Amino acid sequence: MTRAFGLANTMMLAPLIGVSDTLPKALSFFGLSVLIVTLFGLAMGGLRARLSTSLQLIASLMLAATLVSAVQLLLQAFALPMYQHLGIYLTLISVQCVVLEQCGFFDAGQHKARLQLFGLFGALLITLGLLRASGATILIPAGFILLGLLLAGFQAWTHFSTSR
Amino acid sequence: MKPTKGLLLTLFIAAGGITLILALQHLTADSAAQQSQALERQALLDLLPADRYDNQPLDQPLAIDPQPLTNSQLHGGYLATLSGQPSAVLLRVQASGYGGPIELLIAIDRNGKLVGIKTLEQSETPSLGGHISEPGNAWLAAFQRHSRSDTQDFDQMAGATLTSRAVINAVHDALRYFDEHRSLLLEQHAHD
Repeated sequence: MTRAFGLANTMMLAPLIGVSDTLPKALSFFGLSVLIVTLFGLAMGGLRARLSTSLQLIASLMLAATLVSAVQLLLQAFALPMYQHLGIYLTLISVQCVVLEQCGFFDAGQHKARLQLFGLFGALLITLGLLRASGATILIPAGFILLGLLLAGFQAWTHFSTSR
Repeated sequence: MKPTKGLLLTLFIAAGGITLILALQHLTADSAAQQSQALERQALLDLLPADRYDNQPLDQPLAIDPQPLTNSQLHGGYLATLSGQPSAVLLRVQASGYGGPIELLIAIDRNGKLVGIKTLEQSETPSLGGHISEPGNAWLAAFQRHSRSDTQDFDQMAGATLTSRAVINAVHDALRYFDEHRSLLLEQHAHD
């Protein structure tokens, strides 16, 4: 059973627009979210078997909040400019972790989906970061339009290559 | 038996998480405070090129009383030094703009030439006069390297006559104040 992990239902759209106005911001956000989601996945992997479903939710909430708070504190102490740039989007990573956990992102046999989602996320962040930093598209609406065009292009391309 | 175990584990995660965060916060508090202070100072002083001073100007306030100038209010100032020699003076001047007071930090080098202007506070019309608080504002940058004796007329910002006039007057006031008190301002350092 493979599930589709879209960008929309995994809470990745908001940071995708919010942090992609400069490339360093996009890269640091991508790195931090990969780090946090990986740590979260590893920890939950050890816990899942020992907890009932309802306790899993509580444990995942605590775990995600702890990880993100720890990262925030470390950034505040050693990389304050980065912390200020990423702002609210950093906390969204914890929500993202819980949502991913709930939709089975960390289940065994989802390696491919995991790579795909993070590959797509990273590629979009970097592309948006590059395009927005170089052009006059630094504003949020321009980011939306750009993202829409990129996704439409991606869809058209997959459609084109499957219909062949 | 098993549900209790799970519950205990969850409680353990919660307690562990809270302890970790509190400990981390305690350990990094000093470093975080230093970082934010350094950042604030840097933001305040970015109108002065970094190679123009090597002291902490904000720790070296000038002994000037707040006083009214012709068109503005002088609130205070700071002295920037480079290898012990006064290199520039930062004056905090308040002018009345269109939407309220405009607070400016004006940097003047030892020869009386303007180095930079930074808007600390303003409530001008956004996207008209409000442009003066944007970093690297071109209109404010045009004042650079001018001194009081330059009689050039400065352009006004389109749509922001009162803001422009208030800033131009405040800059004139600051340059005039510097010229009139130059030796006093620059020698304060030597008396320390």
